[in-house]
Amino acid sequence: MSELSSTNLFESQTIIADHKDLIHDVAYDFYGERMATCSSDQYVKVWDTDGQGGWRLTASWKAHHGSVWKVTWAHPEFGQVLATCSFDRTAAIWEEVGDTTASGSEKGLRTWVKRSNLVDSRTSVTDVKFGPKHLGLLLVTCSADGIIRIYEAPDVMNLAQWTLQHEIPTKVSISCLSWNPSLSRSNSNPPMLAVGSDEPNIANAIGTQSDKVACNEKVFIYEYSESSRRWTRTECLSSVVEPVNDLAFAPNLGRSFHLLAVATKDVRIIKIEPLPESSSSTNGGNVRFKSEVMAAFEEHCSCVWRVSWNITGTLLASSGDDCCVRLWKSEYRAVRGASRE
Amino acid sequence: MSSGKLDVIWSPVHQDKFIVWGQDITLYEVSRLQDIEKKTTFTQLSSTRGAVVVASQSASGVRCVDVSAVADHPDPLLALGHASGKVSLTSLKQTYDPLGLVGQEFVPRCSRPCNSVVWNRTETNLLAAGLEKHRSDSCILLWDVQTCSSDDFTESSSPPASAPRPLAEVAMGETAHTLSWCSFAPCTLVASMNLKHLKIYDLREGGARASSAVTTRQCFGASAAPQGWHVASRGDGGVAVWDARALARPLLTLQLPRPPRKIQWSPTRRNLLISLQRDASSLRLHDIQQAHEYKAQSSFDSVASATAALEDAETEPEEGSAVERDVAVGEAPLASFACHPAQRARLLTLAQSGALSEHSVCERVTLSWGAAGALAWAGAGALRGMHASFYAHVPDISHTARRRAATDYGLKPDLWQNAELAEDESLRALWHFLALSKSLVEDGCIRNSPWKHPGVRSVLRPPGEGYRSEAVALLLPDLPSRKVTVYRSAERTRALQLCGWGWGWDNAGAGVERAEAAGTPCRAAALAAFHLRLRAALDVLARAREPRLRVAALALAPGDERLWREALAAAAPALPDPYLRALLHFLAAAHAPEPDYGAVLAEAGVRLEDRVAFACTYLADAPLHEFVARTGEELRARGSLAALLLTGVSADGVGVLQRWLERSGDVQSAALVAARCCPPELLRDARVAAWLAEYRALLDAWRLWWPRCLLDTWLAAAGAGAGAAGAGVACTYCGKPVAAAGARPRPAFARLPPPAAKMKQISSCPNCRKPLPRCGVCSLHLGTGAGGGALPAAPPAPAPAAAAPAPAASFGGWFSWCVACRHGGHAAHLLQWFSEHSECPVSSCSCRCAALDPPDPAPPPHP
Repeated sequence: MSELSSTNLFESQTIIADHKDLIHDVAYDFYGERMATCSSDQYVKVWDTDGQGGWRLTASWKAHHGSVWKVTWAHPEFGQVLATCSFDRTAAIWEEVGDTTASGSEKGLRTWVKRSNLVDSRTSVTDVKFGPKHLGLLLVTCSADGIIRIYEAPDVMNLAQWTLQHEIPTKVSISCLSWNPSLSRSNSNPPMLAVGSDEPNIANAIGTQSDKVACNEKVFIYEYSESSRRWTRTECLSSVVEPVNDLAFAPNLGRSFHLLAVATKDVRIIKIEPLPESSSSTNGGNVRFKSEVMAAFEEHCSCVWRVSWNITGTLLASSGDDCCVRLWKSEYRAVRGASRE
Repeated sequence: MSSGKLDVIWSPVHQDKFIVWGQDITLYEVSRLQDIEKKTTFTQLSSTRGAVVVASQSASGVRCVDVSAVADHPDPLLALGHASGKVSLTSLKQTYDPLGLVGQEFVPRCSRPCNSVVWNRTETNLLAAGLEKHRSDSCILLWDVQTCSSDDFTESSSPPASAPRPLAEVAMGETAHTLSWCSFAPCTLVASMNLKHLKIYDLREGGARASSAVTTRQCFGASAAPQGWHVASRGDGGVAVWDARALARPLLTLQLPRPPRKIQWSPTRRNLLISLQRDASSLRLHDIQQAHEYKAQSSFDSVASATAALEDAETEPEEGSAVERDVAVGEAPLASFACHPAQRARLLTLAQSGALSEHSVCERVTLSWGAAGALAWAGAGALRGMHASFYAHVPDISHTARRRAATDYGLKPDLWQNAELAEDESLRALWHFLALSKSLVEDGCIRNSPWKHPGVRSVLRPPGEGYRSEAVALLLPDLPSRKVTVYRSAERTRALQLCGWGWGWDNAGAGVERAEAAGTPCRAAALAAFHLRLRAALDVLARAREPRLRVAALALAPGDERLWREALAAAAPALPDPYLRALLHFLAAAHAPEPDYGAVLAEAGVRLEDRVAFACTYLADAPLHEFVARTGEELRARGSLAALLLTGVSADGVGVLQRWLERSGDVQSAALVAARCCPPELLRDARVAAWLAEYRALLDAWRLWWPRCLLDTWLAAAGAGAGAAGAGVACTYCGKPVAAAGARPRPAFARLPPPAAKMKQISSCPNCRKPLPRCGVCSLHLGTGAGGGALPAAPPAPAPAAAAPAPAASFGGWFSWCVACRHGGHAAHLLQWFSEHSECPVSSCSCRCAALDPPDPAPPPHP
């Protein structure tokens, strides 16, 4: 657990984002060459790399009527497509259409068009993520009233049409979700989602109420069953009982297990190992996974806000209440704390 | 009395000074710890900062305090509201007073306690005082400190008749509890009044009437946001947030478990309200969310007109909500807190015990990793990125793998070439082993192997099959009269070859020389000794550059048998090199009547191939198999690549690679080894397929198309081509592939179009004779080749190695089309067209084919 504290390592370049309020999310595209940011000022901005390590603002538009919580890129196979979700109870799909006044030399200004507005939620939409590309063009949203919605664009060339495929009620406020990015399409790996709840623990606040049996688990795993054509909750991670602010599956990279990073009171790395079919059937088919907390780092003091894996799932970055961005290496030791705000 | 009160206030202009107000009013100055002079007493605020007392005075009779925002005053100027209703100005410290303000007093007509004084932050000469109720006097008085001082600058002992007159007096016969200047309009106050009202006064009009008012239970501590229209007030049940334009009902009511003691808007961040509950040791941050049009600094003249405008704009303002979180700032219950006026996230807290401390309460920092290996995070309104030299300090497989991929690691035609690109000891050994085992199989030394790259375990047959090795007693050539038993069999010979030890001194001698040349004299000596050439071992050590190795050579010289053996065993652990230790263990064991080579084999620093080869030479059948099985299992469990020597690239080998991948994250090597060495049936293994899919996705994300293409070419050559996706061109009429005309079985290039010489002849479908579609640019039929004669006459070279440069020349003639509008043409023509246009070349088609892709940030690496 050595923490290399050479701060100059983390010395960083700075871009003035010129958002008028708190930036809630920053997302790289598939290639890591474009970046989208969203903010409480209701704007979304797109930044393109200039090839020398700098970033150039190429688009900025008012996307919603409330704080924009999350922004995410679709796989480039589907074009240049963004999805955003907002406090204004909607999620929106945006597509880049190049410049409207097209003529040879002055390509550079790119405009984004709202292709679709998903208005099914009655409360703030807290997270939005595109599904893994081998499942087609899927989009999942979750909202503060605890409903997970899975949309599909049946025609990938027509982004205006999204059909609501599944609505999964969870009864607790959902703050974040993550697709399992595994590319393997075998039967043991159906489409999988992890969702995290930021519902405060009522049992702590009210004390000994009659409904003490209420489940305090905050992280749920949902899987799609091809036979029943439904998403079902296959696992509650009993190790996480504090409100969850963020979670992220590591890129699978062909591992036989999944790594889930959870931002709660601490940074937690949970290994989810699918059990072989035979043993799951002997258990009555309910237990599909063996989950194990591989690490829990409490260096962020009281609260961790975000977690993010690098492309190989060997470095994890986290941010928390101590104003630090910390990196954790795959041997699960701290690389270092850094970047006071 | 103010004994119950305890408050802390930052000076809005002197940003390193603050006052603490309790029994006394004390002015502190903040500085970094190293800047504080020694012997000065100071209060430590945080790990880096401390506060020094500048001045202090008694606060008896003072009921309220505010610090002025007058910029050109050397020290914070304070307004004190007294129990008599008098408001006096003081600066605590006797210094130069350029404006002549210190000591001024403003006295209301009727004496009653003063509840609140507030300085205006922009018009710094304005001071408002809120007073208790008096039936014949106004309770809100506005003073202009500067005009007062210039108009009648008299002795302070002059009678009250000549005292300054207030600029404005409002709210006759009412009580004002708290005042706060609004930011959305100049000279406008929000006030909590009469234990039940919240009122907004526009003092420019001088009118006694409130511009807007509302009756509420949350009527204390009115506070206007530093930007925007929000107003907050507190009550016993919680905090209410109001929109100043529509004061009729609260925008939102925040329930708090305990009554709030203080609320403050963050001065540096919009819509962030901080509240402190009674006896709480944590602060609660309310991020006010509102879903409506965001008006950035629209300037309305007065509240009334703004209200009208709002009502015009949206008849029903939507309710908001707040994202709340608690920030624990220590253990003790807090009395008060103050946000730093300019620096983000800096906050001063005052415990009920009087202890001061500074905290940084930061915003939620969002962060994200990019595929290119960069980390971006948002903090303090800016995006930050990692330093470019990050990976030089923190080596990570994501960066290493990308660098390797760019050098065509794993894709070189000869397996051993990849070893040098890996720049890693275990990977280098792996590729060398793969090259060796391949050459052994190709040379026919190892026959009947089910795998292309057999391992030691598959070469050594299991002991149950009734074969026995021949035990041979050998004399040591350099030590006559001593015999050592070695075992020989055809299987063992093959295993030795896999380990790089050909049996017989002719082969081994070359190995010794190589090891010596590679700078590992100890290994060379040990190899020579294992081949029973002690003379050669002595020579090697004698030539060693390090003198201490020559000392070790002494041990090789024989002395008294028994004594010597014991001395060897005792000396071995002290030696620095594992090979030397193994060497001594070997010599000690070899001379024992019943040799036990366990110590040699347990020497973990000796390379696995040397240990296995040693075992193949000196161990009897049963111990040998036991050793090989046990070592293989240990290494597999540890995820060591060396285990591949034992398993070869087989079903077991896939398990070894899987463990290695899970330990190191190096999907690249696993996928490449699989692509190069796996037979087709292993390529269909789910794990192998997953590695390949993941590695392809990685290469895609890195835009390394050439390595990816080479990988697919290798895979197709390895026989996995059946499932490989590829684009083909089929005739629109008959649906048969156009390229099948040549019909030559060339599996590696099945997805390339036929050579140009053929294409010239097939401007129509070879099956149904219908014409092929026309190029959108040149209007010739596809298949006739792009103009300019750039097409080579020769087909691409069939050798995969030459594939990289060759296709570039013929690419111009390829079919190419837009997946959106399905128009297309010759690739070269389309490239040229879209370098100048963004719309489809087919007239009346407005598809922006080229814009469907992201803007190309850099010129492609291969022209």
